[in-house]
Amino acid sequence: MNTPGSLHTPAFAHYSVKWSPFHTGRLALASSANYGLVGNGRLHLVSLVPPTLQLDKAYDTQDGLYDLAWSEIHENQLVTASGDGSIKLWDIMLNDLPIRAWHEHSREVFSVDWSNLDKEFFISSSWDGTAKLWTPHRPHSVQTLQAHSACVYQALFSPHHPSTIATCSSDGTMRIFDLRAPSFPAAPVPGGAPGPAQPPAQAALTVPASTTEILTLDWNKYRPYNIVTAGVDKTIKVWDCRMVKLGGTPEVGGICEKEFRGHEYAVRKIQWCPHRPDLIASASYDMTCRVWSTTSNPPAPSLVHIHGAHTEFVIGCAWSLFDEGLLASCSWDCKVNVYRVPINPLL
Amino acid sequence: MALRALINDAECGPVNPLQSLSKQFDKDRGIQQDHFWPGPAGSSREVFRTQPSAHSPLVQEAAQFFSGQSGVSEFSPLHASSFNLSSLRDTLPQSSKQYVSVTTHPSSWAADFLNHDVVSPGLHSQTEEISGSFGSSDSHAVQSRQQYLPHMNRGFASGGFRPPMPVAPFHTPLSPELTQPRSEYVILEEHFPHEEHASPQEQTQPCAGAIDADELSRTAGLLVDTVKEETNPKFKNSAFLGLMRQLRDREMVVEGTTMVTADGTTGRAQDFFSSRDVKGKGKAKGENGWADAFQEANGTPVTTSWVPHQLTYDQDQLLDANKGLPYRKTVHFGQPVVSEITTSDEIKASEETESLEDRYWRQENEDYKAYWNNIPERQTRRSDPEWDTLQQDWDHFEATATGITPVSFYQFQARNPYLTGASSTRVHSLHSDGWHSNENILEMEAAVQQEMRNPTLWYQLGVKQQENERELHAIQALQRAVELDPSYLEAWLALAISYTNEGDRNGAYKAIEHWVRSNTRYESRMPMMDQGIQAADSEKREALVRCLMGLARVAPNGEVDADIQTALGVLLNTDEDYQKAQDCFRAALSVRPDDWLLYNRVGATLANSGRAMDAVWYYHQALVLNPSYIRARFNLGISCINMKQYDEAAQHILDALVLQEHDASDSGDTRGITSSALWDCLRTTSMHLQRPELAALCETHDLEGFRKAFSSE
Repeated sequence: MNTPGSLHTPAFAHYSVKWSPFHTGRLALASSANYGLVGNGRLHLVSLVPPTLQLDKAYDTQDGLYDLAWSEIHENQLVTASGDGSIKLWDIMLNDLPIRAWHEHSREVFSVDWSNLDKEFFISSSWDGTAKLWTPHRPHSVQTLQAHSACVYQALFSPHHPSTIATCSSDGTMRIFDLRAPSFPAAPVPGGAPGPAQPPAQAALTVPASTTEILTLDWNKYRPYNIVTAGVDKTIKVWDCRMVKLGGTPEVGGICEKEFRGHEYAVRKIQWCPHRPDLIASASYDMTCRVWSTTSNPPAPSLVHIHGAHTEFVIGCAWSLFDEGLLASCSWDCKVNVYRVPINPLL
Repeated sequence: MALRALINDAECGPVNPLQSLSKQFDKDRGIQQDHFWPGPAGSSREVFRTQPSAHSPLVQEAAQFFSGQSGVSEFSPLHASSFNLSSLRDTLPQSSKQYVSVTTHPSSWAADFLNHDVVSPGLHSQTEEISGSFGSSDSHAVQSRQQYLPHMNRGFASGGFRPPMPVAPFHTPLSPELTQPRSEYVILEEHFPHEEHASPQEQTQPCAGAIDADELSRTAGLLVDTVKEETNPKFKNSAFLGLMRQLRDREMVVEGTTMVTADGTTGRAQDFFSSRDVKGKGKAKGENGWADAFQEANGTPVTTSWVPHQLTYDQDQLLDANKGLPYRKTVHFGQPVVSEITTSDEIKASEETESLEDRYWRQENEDYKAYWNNIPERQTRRSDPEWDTLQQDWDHFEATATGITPVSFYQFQARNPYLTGASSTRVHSLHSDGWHSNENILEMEAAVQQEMRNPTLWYQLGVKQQENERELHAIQALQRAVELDPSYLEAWLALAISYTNEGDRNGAYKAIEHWVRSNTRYESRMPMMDQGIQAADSEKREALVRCLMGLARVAPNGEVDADIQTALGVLLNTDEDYQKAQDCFRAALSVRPDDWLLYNRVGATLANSGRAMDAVWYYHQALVLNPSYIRARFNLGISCINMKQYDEAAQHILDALVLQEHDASDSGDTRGITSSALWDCLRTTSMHLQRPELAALCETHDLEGFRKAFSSE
């Protein structure tokens, strides 16, 4: 299966692709018309019937969709993040409309992530500088975290510690928060304007990871202390956050273990392989999706694979949770490609 | 927490920024010329750097300052750390940007006091509250500023600027003086955008619609500009960038939630999606159009959501544009923040409120600037050659965890038995027809060590290392060979192949270029070659291919020159044109039917193009000719994996590992000698075989254990 399975969804530029944690070949795609500039969004449900991808269903939304997350507790549910600040919960057995919608963020919601450990909860992050904790059963957010003073591009639960999240922001920092820490300001009244002078919440660790915007991060699935970040500086950086003391005094630091250069433009999405502790997939504005290995020592080749089939910015990528080495990437060329990362024979 | 237990683990180690510079893919290696510029400096792909703000006088000044100083003593600890200051280039414009972004946020403390006299009445009424909260939330304020300060402290303190003052004045009433603990530059940068935007903001609010069209087209224009030097055809053909061009030229405008051509009649937006779907476009369910959304909270335009992040530092402009319309102006057009704005009226206003101390420091900074503006010219002129030499010397070293070690010097194995008096056993058939393959690495290393300046020996060692699946050793040996004899054709070609395998395209191009240049056989065709070789980096590949094709055509009597075909094959392979590459290797094979390397190359290109089945035959041929050809064996294993013949794959990879192990001297450490690529592959195969216990053995590179476990069945 070296030839990629590919699916074209005309007129909707993709922003995010995620594999279902329950069904082997099921994918969901968040997309926006007009590249998310103006107009509608559409949620696509896709299944992989090797060697092809087929479109099962689509839901239209009023504003562009930037991200989605499958529920970890209900096989047919997922949440989407919208450009208008709203978050919607969908049941894919139903048609047309979401089963629940929340609207608390004052600006674009840029990421959603469902907790792997506390499966009741998911978290969203927004350009309004906050990350919000939600549970599907409540009409309002459970907790609001003034994570940064600038856009929060991604917030992710640690796969190892419940209540621990990492965020990254246009302020160039990556932060780790313990949601149980007491020092958070009270959540603003739902629907109301955010408080004028809400100071950022206290992070357990702040990593000044870049001098420019950090667009994406991911936790290593095997090493609880490893996080990878990437962004406008085109560099992928692997961080060792072992100095973090949860619940202690705030710390600034983090040791950059590895750096990978090669992308010619900003890196938009990054993900560790769920099957191996040393493989990273990255999607970039240079129109490629690449796979890197962290085990090779410099100057050995760390670049494992380049997928160059996309013809516009590659915005999202996701490793299959069931099939090792199977990667999906989605792009503004309105195509999602699924392919196996090959081991290249040498000359 | 468990995390805490992991402190002091051995894996914590400093990462030297220099090391990471080395892995540039498809990029000009010229970058490493200047350690003080953290990013690639000269690459033609670095289009963003041509934008004005990267050249802000402040940045240049600082860089000149540091480079001037560090040229003197490179290796002192002080300057080891000054390498880290390379981030200065980023942090300077950056930190100001961060501040601006802080201030734009309604809930940030900085915004509150900086804006308090100009922002909307709503905020005004809260001033009291804010000032109250200032007393209590001091710690927050301090804390948040500290996130930004470290960069600057580093930069300014070591650059002779005033170290930051304690953060005392926070209890004083809200006034610009609050910013004084920061360095003068920051004050200026931060101030003026605000002072400046104050009135535009009020004015623009009512006519936001008009402005937004302007801004949209301008932003689109900026975006298009940033990629205008991009040579990648994908960027030229990009529908999104096409749309940006049209937005810039006002051929396309945003109306409600759709895009229409400027005359407003046809909804041509769908052209960008190749008119495949009309549904997607018109299905606006709500009436909250773009313009409405634009006027939402903080005057945030919806445009922000599409502004891609691909741009480097200069995109600050765009990014700040995201934060709110008024800032776009100030940040865009006030590029030389320090120098030009000083002439404006605002500075007078601020000077009046400036304390004596501030004035002193400002003066000091200006003097300082003036001083350095004059100095560097003298100094750089004088020290350039000097610096270049230092630079070259430096390039031969790399900093590792254990200190500074020479780069690319071949690491011979310790305790080589062939060196301990047994050297006479070596068969000296090297200069007869074709050296044989049965020699092992240790033997060859011993030969090299006895004749360190013999390029032929180095070359043979390099090729052997290639065959034995140790690319890095191969590169080092081959580099040594061409250093000793720059006209060594075979070595250049072998080096090109190694670079290709490492994914270093530029290295491969350069090696092939050298090969062409030194090839005396086609000297008469030199003009043609030169034409190709003088091409810019971006066109180098094409030029080389053209040149080699030309050479292949003029070969006397229509005979096939296997070397030219091989070189062409390598070039085409780097470009993933496997079909053509394979043709080239086959052509080479037709005149050298006994070359096992060529069999493997044909096999590898076949496998690369997804034809694992066909590749197997070629690998087998290679192995028939040379049973100890480890690379072919490994490649055979990979093909077996691709065909899901995991059992067989494991056998081949295991064989390859065993062969590799034979290369080890008796120094006892066999772990370094087997390559981790093979182990990784074997591990994956074991997983596929549902044998996790075998996979675990792979983790520890336990060949003996694996052999026992695997062959005991």
